[in-house]
Formats: sequence, structure tokens, C-alpha cells
Amino acid sequence: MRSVRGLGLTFLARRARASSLLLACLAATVLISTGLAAVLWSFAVAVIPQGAGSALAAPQGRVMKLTGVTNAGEAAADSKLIRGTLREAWPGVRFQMQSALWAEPVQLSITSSGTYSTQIQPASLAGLRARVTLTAGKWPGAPRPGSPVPVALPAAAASRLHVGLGSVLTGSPPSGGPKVSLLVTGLFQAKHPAALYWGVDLVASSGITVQHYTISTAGSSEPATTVSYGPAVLNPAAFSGGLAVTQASWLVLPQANAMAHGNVFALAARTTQAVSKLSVALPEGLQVTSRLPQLLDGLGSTSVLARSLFTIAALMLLLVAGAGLALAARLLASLREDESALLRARGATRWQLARPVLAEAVLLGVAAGSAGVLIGTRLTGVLARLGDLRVEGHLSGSITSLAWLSALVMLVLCAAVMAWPALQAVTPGAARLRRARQARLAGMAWAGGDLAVLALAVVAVWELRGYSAVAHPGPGSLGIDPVVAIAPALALAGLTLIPLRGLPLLARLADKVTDYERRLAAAMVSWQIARQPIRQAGPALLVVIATATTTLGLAGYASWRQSVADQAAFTVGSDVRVDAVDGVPPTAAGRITRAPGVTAATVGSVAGIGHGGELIALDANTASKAILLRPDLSPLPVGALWRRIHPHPIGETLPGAPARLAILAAIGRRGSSSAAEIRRYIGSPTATAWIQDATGVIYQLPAGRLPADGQPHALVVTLPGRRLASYPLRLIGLTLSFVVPPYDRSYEALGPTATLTIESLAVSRTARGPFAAPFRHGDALSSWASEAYSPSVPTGPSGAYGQIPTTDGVGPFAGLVRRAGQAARIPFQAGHDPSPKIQREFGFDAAQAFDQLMITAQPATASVPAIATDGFLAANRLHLGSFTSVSPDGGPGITVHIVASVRRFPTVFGQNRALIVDYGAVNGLLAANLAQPLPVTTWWLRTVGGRVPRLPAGLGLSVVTTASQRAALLSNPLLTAPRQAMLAIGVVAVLLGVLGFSVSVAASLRARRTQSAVFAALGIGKTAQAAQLCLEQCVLSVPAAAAGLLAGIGLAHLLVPAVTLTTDAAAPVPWALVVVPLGPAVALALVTAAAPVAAAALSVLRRPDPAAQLRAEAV
Amino acid sequence: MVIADGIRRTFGSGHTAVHALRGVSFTIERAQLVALRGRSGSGKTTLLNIIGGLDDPTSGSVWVDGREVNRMTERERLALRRDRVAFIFQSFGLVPMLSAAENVGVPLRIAGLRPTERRERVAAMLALTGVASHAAHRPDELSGGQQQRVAIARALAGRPGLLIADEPTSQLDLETGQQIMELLLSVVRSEGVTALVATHDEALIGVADQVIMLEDGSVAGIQSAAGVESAAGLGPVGAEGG
Ligand SMILES: Nc1ncnc2c1ncn2[C@@H]1O[C@H](COP(=O)(O)OP(=O)(O)O)[C@@H](O)[C@H]1O
Ligand SMILES: [Mg+2]
Repeated sequence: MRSVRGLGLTFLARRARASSLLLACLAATVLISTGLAAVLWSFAVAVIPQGAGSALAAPQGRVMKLTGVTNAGEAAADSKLIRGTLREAWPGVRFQMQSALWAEPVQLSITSSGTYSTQIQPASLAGLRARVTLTAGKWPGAPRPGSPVPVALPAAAASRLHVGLGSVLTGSPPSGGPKVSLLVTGLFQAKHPAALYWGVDLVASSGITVQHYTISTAGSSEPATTVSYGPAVLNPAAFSGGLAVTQASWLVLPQANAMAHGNVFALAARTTQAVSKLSVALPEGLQVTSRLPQLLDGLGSTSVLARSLFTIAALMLLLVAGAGLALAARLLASLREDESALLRARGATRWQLARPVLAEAVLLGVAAGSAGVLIGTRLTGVLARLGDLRVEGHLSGSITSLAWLSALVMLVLCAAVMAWPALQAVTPGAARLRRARQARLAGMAWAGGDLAVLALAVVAVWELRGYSAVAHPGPGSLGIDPVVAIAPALALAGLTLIPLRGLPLLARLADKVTDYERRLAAAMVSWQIARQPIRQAGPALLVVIATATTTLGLAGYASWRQSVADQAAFTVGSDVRVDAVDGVPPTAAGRITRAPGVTAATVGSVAGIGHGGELIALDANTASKAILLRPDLSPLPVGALWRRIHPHPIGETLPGAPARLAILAAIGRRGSSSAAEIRRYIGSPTATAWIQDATGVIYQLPAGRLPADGQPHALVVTLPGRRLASYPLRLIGLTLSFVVPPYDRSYEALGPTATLTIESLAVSRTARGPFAAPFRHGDALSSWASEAYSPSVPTGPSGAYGQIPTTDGVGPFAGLVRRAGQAARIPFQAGHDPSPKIQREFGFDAAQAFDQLMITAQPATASVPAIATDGFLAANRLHLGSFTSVSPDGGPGITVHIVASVRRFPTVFGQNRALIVDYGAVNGLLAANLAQPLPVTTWWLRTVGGRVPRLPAGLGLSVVTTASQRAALLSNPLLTAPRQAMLAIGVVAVLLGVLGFSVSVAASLRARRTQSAVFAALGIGKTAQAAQLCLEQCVLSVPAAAAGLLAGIGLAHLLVPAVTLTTDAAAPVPWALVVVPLGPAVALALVTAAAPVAAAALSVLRRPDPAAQLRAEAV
Repeated sequence: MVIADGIRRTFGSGHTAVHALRGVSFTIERAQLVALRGRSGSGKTTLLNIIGGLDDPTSGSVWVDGREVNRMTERERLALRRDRVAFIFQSFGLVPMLSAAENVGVPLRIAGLRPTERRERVAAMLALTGVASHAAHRPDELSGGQQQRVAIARALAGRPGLLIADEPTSQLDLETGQQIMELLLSVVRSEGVTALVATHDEALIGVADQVIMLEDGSVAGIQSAAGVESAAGLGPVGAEGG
């Protein structure tokens, strides 16, 4: 009995020495886990304010503007109310507040119809003087009764009003009331017109605001314009004089830093509350404009998500560590089983057995845990200075309470798993039986708990299916999203139990098989599984959990990076996108597509088509190389998609790479017009050739003059050249422009009639010198359409000028293009001016009135094929095959034929409404309809290294790049750090898995020393034994690793879509894809499953001594 | 069958060197039952291990079946133990995970016997050793005597030419030990194997064809069934205690 009671320190020390390997493994597991947990929590604590800080850094996001209709008395109270309300909403957050008081505007002039008025806006702005420079005069003093009120005006407004110092402006308020006179005493200019301060200014900081609106009166509505000038800055004393305060405005700017360190979620809620409270504060309410509530809301959701992701990581870590500890503790217990049984036999109670183990566990847990916390916190300081993880300035360097909590959890876990077997200790006889009959115990030991965990796992998986953290921004008291945080660990725990359940079944099967097995090695493998399922299950379980965690970590991180890349590519549409809002001249387009460093380019034009939709016209021939369209966004393969809208080129292709084109043409007399008349009236029309290049850009190039002398003349066009245009070029139209023939009573309803003949087309490769023989006869153009019109001749009652009386002018008219031998012939009549009397009435300028005669190539169909986004189809109730008409930027309508659809298209956000057409096809159709082509506004460029190429200056270009977008997203620690944490857990899971599994293999090596010696005596060599050991361990560990891999992939598919969100906690566009980096995942799984086995096998090869072993056993 | 010629075995070196065998020589004829006597520590186990190729002599040589064991490669020794020599250990040496029948089947699996043949042979051996009714029991569920019977069954299952038994009854009570010795004797006779048994069992010594007495690593005397043979010429003559 004495020896039982004396289980003291010496006993502990001796026992510890005997099982030092397992104890070291336990300690290392605790150390690594708590260390990583400390790193994790230090980052979690630091990253959230840092992310919030960077999101709130821009003052535009934080500023709050308030305006309200009020009077002088109320305005002061309002200021107080605003200050008080916001102070309550933002405890501990300091904020700046600016205010301004506004009098009713003074109307200076108004047209009789009331559609155009000018007014001046008197106001007093607090703090204005510090932000402007007085350019002339002095600041206004207090007004004297009876004399004009002194004001200072913005210099720009004064110059537009043509007033200066000393000018007096007089008017009355638009609402009526007494006249007000303002005396200009000073002129000022804003120091920084873009400064946030000017938010308090109701007039634009330029000093002039133009408002367009419609005046609706019974039945009719008319557009109207009001131009406001101001502010006309008053001395505040003026408000106690003649002017009354009618409006007040405030600008509030809270401090970013204090906000970022507070509870963002609570702050968001209180801000929203304050805004709604203020908006009903005044009788007529305050108008509050601010993005702050939304910004804080999004930030709150994101930080909840970040915290949840950190929690996921922590729980996964706990799971892996728990499995590792349980395995080591079980091995420890089985190592000491005989000893415990002996002690039991000598009368030790369970508690007496458990006590030393608990003491051991607590010693070990406290030491390793504290070391882990200290090392982890130290490590955080080092890591935080490394490139990607930079969170400097936010790390306090002190240990977070969460790190201590993690250490405590590990301690409890460690004590529990170590004491558990001791509390269940059995008698010596039973111990022997237990070893022999593990299989039977297996079923019972796992019966209850695993089913419960499995049920929870099923619930977790069910919850995660289709879950999105967007929809659940609930802050909860924990500040985490419980579903996102807990479900993965639960699901994993459950998933791993499934194979465990299956193991006894497998064991029975294996047992059957051995009987029919001829070779020993295979039989031994089966026996190992069949006879020791629990022993085998421990390491298998650890391998499953570790591999699944690693896979999830890898997949989570890779998916996030992929999503960031996808979002960036979607925003830009290519490596680099160049935009010219108003378009650039056609010849400049080529200088951008051919800029050095560009490897592929697509030109195009983006135009609005109403209802939030847009028309993206781009060169479909090059799109597949330049546009970054993620394949899953299109139901068709991307190549096939572009082929659907490939254009059918129209016009006559110019062979080779010509420098010049010559069109041999003539204008001759026809019908009753004499040759002299034609010469006199039509003269020498100016010719313009319409040339379209391979990318769809249309060049309108001068082609000289064509004298109407009946003789053929060469219209020579100098082509843009290969440096500027993409060859081959096509001639798609020809315009002749001439002054409208004068009024001649003899013509009456017709003008002179003539014939345009196109004889042939020829090209030259050189800029001067003779042309080659014609490559095409004129008759090739006989399928072209002709049109003649004059934009300036009023043409009778049905003309566009509805209210204009009937005129006697005649517009031109063109007949059909006909074939005449080898030439094409277009009869036309030239029209004529109206009579001098009508000319006078209209103010018609005969010298400026031109006729246009055009012939244009016609497309095969009157519509262009288009790809529609799903959003466009849904909004317009259209489907594949539909035709619809759109007017790009309100211009002439074009008919599009929807031939394909995409779920999403790069650069299209909002309601996802867009049509994508071929740029050349649209331009061809527009040209065929005599409309101006769409200007080139956009270039999608693939470039060397994704860098911005050297672009021509002076074109007003703006540039966005995928690389910079991606960098911006990745630099947000709130989004990136939690993924890095998951990755870190994944890596540590490998470490813990290898550690636990290695120890288990080592333990089994020790356990089988005798068996190994017996086998040696039976004639089985060390190589065969090593191979057998490998086979045995791998037979379970490799399938376990495979199962873990699958579980990890499954979890990633559940989790990644739910947690991949943008900074505003919105679902990313395009949606996130689950990316599993199979190579690294499989490699790490193999490391976990096979490396320890291989190492063990090598150690077997190194030192077998069967004789010594047999001797040791015999003693 | 077995010839030992001047076997020396020294463990360690210098001060701590232990001379377990100091030049042991003897000859064992085919189908003989030979008893090896000697006090604990006299070098019996060391000698048996060297004969079975589990250990190497420091000098001297051993021939089994006319082949010099200490000149064999590791591969050849393994083959020797697989096919020619079987061990019976003091501590039985059964694989605890396997049933009696499975333990007996191990050498047959190593030999690659067909499952049906194997089953027949296992059943026959278990019947021969009297543990047929315990075929499905694991070693932990068997008494020491039963375990040693199983061990004997396993040793003989592969039809070895030479059976080496190292104090097979030392962990058994007297009565069981006697039964085991009787069994060993009868199966050795019935199977016709050569057997070298380290033992103190007087019954066995009584019926042995030859008794080799070891003392402090040297042969103290060899007694054949015909009587005591002089140890002179075979090695240093030590004090003869019997
Ligand atoms: N591996 C070894 N290392 C050191 N000494 C050994 C070793 N094996 C045996 N001995 C020593 O050799 C002597 C003979 O041992 P052993 O052959 O086991 O004798 P027996 O089997 O007769 O009891 C003993 O003194 C023992 O201590
Ligand atoms: Mg011995």
C-alpha cells in the first residue's frame, strides 16, 4: 500500500523518462498549437482596426453633409442637436463640424417665359476666410440700414456676371418679397477647390451652378435652366438686418482612427440611428447625405467575416491538435497499461491512478502552453514586419487574452485526453484481453459520441449549403458568424468519423480475406487492421483531419487569390484598359493598339443604351486574345462565343497593303440637263472615301475633287498606312459633297440631273507614282446603295422643320446604283436652293448649303449579331434569337440580333445589362445607314507582364490595370489576413499530422520489436519486415489521406462560396470559384501519410538485432 | 548434421568484455535428440543463436547440414531458418495478435503453401501437439503450457531438419514442463527431426542421445547414450559436476 500512496515525484520522473518520446510529442503538439493560436489571435486583433482604418482613410467616405430649411433661431439649435446626436452615436470619436447659413437667393434676371433665370446666393459660411484668398477688395462689414448689403463674391462668378468691386446687384427672391440690393466689396478664390470643406457650400466650388429642369404647365412641359452664382458671402450680422436665414448646411467629418478602433458594427448601427433621428429633427427634416452608414455596415460585416474566418482557423487547429493529443495520449496509456494494471491489482483507486497523469498533463500543458503563447507572440512581431503580412503600427506587442484562452483550452484538452484512459484503467487480466480483443471493444467505445457528432456534422453541412455570409451580417454578441465559424470544424469532425465507423466493418472483411491469403505480408496487413482497429484508427483519424485541414487551407487561400484575380480581370476586362471618354480620332486609335509592350489589343466603343444598359462594341476578331472572359461566364466555349458575332466584312477589300487608292469616276449630264448646266451647277464636288480597317475603325478620307465634266477622273485617297490602321482595308462608301445649285425657276420641282459613274478601283503600294491596273471594275459596286440629301435645304411641308412654312427649295435625290457595262452608274438630281424670298425668311445661307451624294456598301442583313448578358435578356424579356433596337448614346437606332448570351461580361456591373457586338459590324451598319460611326472609346490591351504600355500623350486617356486592381484587393488586410491564417493552419496541420503519425509509427515499432525478432528467427529478413511495416501503415494512412483530401475539397466547396466576399461584404463579381491546388494538396497529404512510414522503415533497416531482442524478451 | 568447431563468442571489448563462449566444439548426428545443460549464464542461448544463424561467433565455425553457417550471407541464413532450422523459445515467441492456428500457419505462409494445404497441415500439427480444441484462441487466452504446445506445433509445421529449443519449460510449472518435454520427445521421435534442446529437465536428459554440458562458456563434458565420453581433446577440461 505504501508504494501505491508514494506515487511521488521520483515515480513521475522515472515514468516520464520511460515514455519521453510520447510526452515530447504531446508537449510539442501543445506548443505548436498554442504558438500558432497566439500568432493567429494577435493578427486577428490587429488586422480588424487596420482594415477598418484603411477603408475609412479616405475622408470622402466619412464625410456627412446635412442641409435643412430653417431660420436663424432654429439653425443654432440644430447645430447643437447635430453635435449632440453625433457625439452620442460616436462615443470617443472626435469630429470636425462646419456650418453655413443661407438666405433666400436673389433673382437677378428671368426671361419672360420663365425658362431661363439667373440668381445669386447670399450666405455666411463659418471658417470660409481660412480657405480662400481675397483677390480684391475687402471682406464685407455689417450692413447699414437702407443701404445695399455688402458681400464678397467668388472671382469666377463675378467675372461671369460682369461685375466688379462696387457693383450693386439688385433683385428679389423667387418666392416674391421685397427687393434686395447687394454691394460687391470683395472677390475671393478658393485655395483648394477640391477640399472637403466645400461640401458645406450649396453652390459648386467654381461659384456657378447650372440647374436644368422642366417646367410643367397644363398639358405641356418645357425645359428650363437656372444659373446660380455664389456664395455671396455676407457678414453674419446681415442676418439680423434685412436678410432672413432660410436654409442651413453642415458638414461633419469624424476622425478615422478612433472609428477604426471602436466596435465597427455598433458604430454602424448607431450612425444609421443618428441619421434617421436627424432626418426627422426639423419640422421639414434634415437632408443627410453620407456614405458613412453603408461604409460602416459593410465594414462591420467584413470584420465579422474576418473574425469568423479566424475562428474557423482556430477551431480547425483545435481539431487537429485534439486528434494529435488524443493519439499520443492513447499510445502513452497503452504503453503504461501493464503498469497501471499492476497498480490497480495492488489496490490503487482510479483517482490514485489518474492523479499522477493529471499532474503530468498540467505540468506539460502549462509549460508548453505558456512557451507557445510567448513564442507565438514574439513570432507575430517578426511576421508583422514581413512583406505580405505587414500590419505595423497596429500590433501592440502585448499578449492578447485570446492567446491565453487558447493556451487554457489546450491545457484542458491535454489533461482530459491524458487522464481519460487512466480513469478507465482496468485489471491486469483485462488489460491482456483488451490488447487481444480490441476489435470487439471498438464498436462499444465509439457507439454514442460519434453518432452525435455525425448528426451535428450533417446539420452543419446542411447549413453551409448555399450559405452566404452576405445574407447574415448579424453581429451577435460574439462578433462572429456562428454558422461560418463552427460549421466547418463540425462538418470535418463528422466526416472523419464516417471512415472510423466503417473500420470495424473493414476489419471483419479483412479477417475473412486473410484466410485465403497465401503470402504472409498481405496477411499481416489484414490482421493488423482486423485485430487492432482502434490502434490503427488513431493515426488514420489524425491523418484524415490533418489532410482535410491542409486541403481546406490551401483551397481557401487559392480560391481567394483566384477570386481576387477574377474580380480584377472582370473590372478591367484585360491586362490594361484604356478609356477615352469622348473618343479619339481614328488615326490615334492605331497608336494605342500598336504601343510598345502591347501583345494583343481589341478596340471598341462603349455607349449607353438606356435603362442602365450599355452597348459594348468591340473587335470580335481579336477579342479572344485580349478580353479576359472567365470561361464559366459563358455557356459557349469562349472561342465559339466570339465566332457567333464575327462580322461579315462589307465593301471592296483593297488588295495587298496599299498606300493609295484611286477611284476612277465621272459625273456626266443626264436627261434634260445640258453638259454646261451640270458643269455650272454641280462644279467639282469634294469626294470623301469611307475606309474601314480590319478592326472595324472607319476612316473618312479626302479623295480630292471630281469635276462634273463628263470625263473620268481619278479620285486619289491617301490611306492611313500600316502603322496606324489594321490592314486589309475595305472601301465601304464614297461621298460627294457640293454646294446646292442656286434657285432657278426653270427647274421647279427638280434640280439639274446628272449621272455619277464609277469606272474602276485601283491601288498603289507607294505614296506617289503610277497605280497598278484596276483590281476591280466599277460594276462591283452595283450592289451598293445610294442616297442623296442635304442637311440644310428646307424641303417642303413634310420636312423635319414642322413649324416652317412650305418652301420652294428642292432637296437632292439619288437613283438606284446600276450596272453599265463594266461600270456602276448612279443617276441623281441635285436639287436647288429655295427662292431668295424664302431664303430671307429663314436666314438661309446659300453658300453654306451642301448636297451630299453617297454610295455605301450594304451588309447582308439589316441587323448586327449580338451577345446579351443574362441581365439584359431578363430586363427586356428577350431570349436567344430575339431582335431588338438600341440607340447607342441616344444616336441613330440599330437593330441587333441576339445570337448568344453570357451570364456576366467584364466591366458590366450594376444590373448586369449589356449587349456585346462586333465594332466593325455596328460601324458598317451605321455607315450603310449614312450615320456616323461609333467613336473608338476603349482599348483592351494584353501587355508584356501586364504593365501599362507607353501611350501617346494629350489624348485625355485614362488607364486601369488588372495588376493594380488585384494589388488593391490583396493589400486589404481585413480580406487577406484571415485567408493567410487558414493557410498557416493548413501548413501547421501537416506538421502536427507528421508529428503525431511519426510517434505512432515509432510506438508501433517499439511494440513489435519482439514480433520482429520472432519473425527473424522464422526467416523473415529485415527488408521484408520493413516493407511489411510500410505496407501496413500505408494501407490505412494513404486511404486516410485520400479521404482527408476529399473531405477538404468537399468542405472547400461548402465554405469558399460562403465566405468569399468583397470589402463591402458583398458577393464578388464574378462569383467565386473553388480552386483546389491539387498538386500541393496531394503532395502535403503524401508527406503527412507516407513520410513517417518511410522514415520508420529506414530505421528498421538500420538496426535489427534479433538475438539481443529475444534475450531481452526472455528475461 | 551439426558440427561446432572451436566457437568463441565475446561480447563487448576491453574491461567489460564478456566471454560467453570460449571455444566450443561438438558434433550432432542426424535425427539425434541432444540436450544442452549448463547453469544460467553458461552460454547456452548464445550457442543456440549462433547455430541458428541469429548471431555470429567471434571465431570458430558451425556447420549445419554440411554448410558453414558463419560463412553464409544474410540471405542464405534466412533461407536456412525458413527451411531447415526451427526455434522454440523460452518465452514461446507467439504473435499475440494471432490465434493459435494462425501462429502455426505463419511459417507455412512464409513457405507459400496453398491455403488448403496450409489448413490441413496446421490442423495436423495442432492435433499432434494436443491443442486442436484451442485453434481459434489467441496466446493471451491460452495457458503457458498450451502456448508452448502451439510454439512446438509452429516449429514443426515447416518440417525443419533441426529443431533448436532454448529452455522450453523454464517458464512453466514442473508438471506442465514435464508434459511439454514428453510432447517434445514424442514429436521429435515421430517427425524424425534432429533436436538440440537447452534444458535442465532430467527426464529429457535421461532419454537424450547426447548431453552436452556447458560451463562458463566451455564444454565441460559430452555424454552420449553409451556413457560419459571424455571431454579431453574436444576442449579444455573443466570441473565435471555430474
Ligand atoms: N548481447 C549480450 N551482450 C553482453 N553480454 C551478453 C550478451 N548475450 C549474452 N551475454 C552474456 O553471455 C553470457 C552467456 O549468456 P547466455 O548465453 O544467455 O547464457 P545462458 O543461456 O546459458 O543462461 C552471460 O554472462 C551473459 O551475460
Ligand atoms: Mg539462456
